[in-house]
Amino acid sequence: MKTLYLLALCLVIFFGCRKAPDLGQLSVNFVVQTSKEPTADFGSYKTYYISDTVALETTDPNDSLWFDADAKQLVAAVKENMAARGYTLAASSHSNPDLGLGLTVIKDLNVGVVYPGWWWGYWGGCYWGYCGYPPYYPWYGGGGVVYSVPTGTVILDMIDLKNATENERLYVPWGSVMSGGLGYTSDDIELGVKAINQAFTQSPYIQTN
Amino acid sequence: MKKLIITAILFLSGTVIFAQTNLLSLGWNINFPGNTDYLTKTSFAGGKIDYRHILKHKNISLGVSLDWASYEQYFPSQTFQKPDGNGAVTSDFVAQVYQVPFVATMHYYFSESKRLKPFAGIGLGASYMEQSLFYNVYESDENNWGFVARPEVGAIIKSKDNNWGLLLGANYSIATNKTESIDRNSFNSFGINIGLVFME
Repeated sequence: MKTLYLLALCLVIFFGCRKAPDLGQLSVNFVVQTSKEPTADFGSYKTYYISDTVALETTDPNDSLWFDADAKQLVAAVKENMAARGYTLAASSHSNPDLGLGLTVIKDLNVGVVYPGWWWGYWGGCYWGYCGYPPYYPWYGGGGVVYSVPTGTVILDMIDLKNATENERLYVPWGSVMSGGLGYTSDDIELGVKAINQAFTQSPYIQTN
Repeated sequence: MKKLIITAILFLSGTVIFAQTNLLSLGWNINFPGNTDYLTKTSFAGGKIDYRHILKHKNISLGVSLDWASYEQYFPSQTFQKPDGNGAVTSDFVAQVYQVPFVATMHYYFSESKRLKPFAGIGLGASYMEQSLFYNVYESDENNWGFVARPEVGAIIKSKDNNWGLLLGANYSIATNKTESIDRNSFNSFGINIGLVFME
């Protein structure tokens, strides 16, 4: 009889135990999150500007810009999507563009929980020619949106410059946090470009017309 | 209840001699998600411990049953739009659901033959559920309790010496565990149980 007890227990233990999830099935594609201000009128903006350099957040405070050919590929992806939605690239950030687009990449840092705008660095500095205007994420309503930012995360902010003086803040009507493993290989950059394309794909309301 | 617990403990230690009215089964559960367009993959990782006390001179038993089932499914990349249209997330993910119902049971036994003891019954109780989503480097968890109702049918195929047998059962479980991330208020499943039952 005891043999039967053991047999039954073995049956239950062998077949019935909870299994660890098989995460090997997951792709290397980025998790693409986008958020927008409910009342944002994207048709009211016509021009934009984006720098050819990407802001870097790393453990090295001196390592704050990324401007090689890889960085330019990410910037080019943003430009292509903005052009496809009818927006015109301004000659420079001093040409009074309606929108400023900022790309930030997190490298060699794993940040547990951050709030939108953490990646702007020191608040109270000068951004986009406006000193003392804080970034403002209208969809962040007292804890509604928090991010865990692992290394390799790409962040794209769309900033309302057209109404900055009136708003007295750098209002961000749309933003995307793309989390994956952006490293330095061509495959990684390709995944970053794919993520930027996806951010626009899932935000069909970004249209100037 | 005290008698029931002591009986179960003694039985698990392998030293008990059961009264003729007690049954204990250990089994393997196969579960098919029911009411969901979310999980569709069958769970083969499940088990059940079921104790029943047959009332004197009646074809009815009262008992308790503890189950567990682990569901896992991979979902290719897809975009989830927030209901208000102001946000979206795109990713592929692995979903895992671990359900542990603990129910009080009542079974009715139909007229039995020498070797076959068919039954029908119901279990009512609590269902603990852990739901995890794994996507890229992230994991999000949602754990909760719900009420569960579980009608079931089955049969015990008794051995020649009449003190053990094979238990085959089928049930439909309706649990009120919520899945807030996909706006679901219940988790239903169809289950098959294959086990050994000991009785004396």
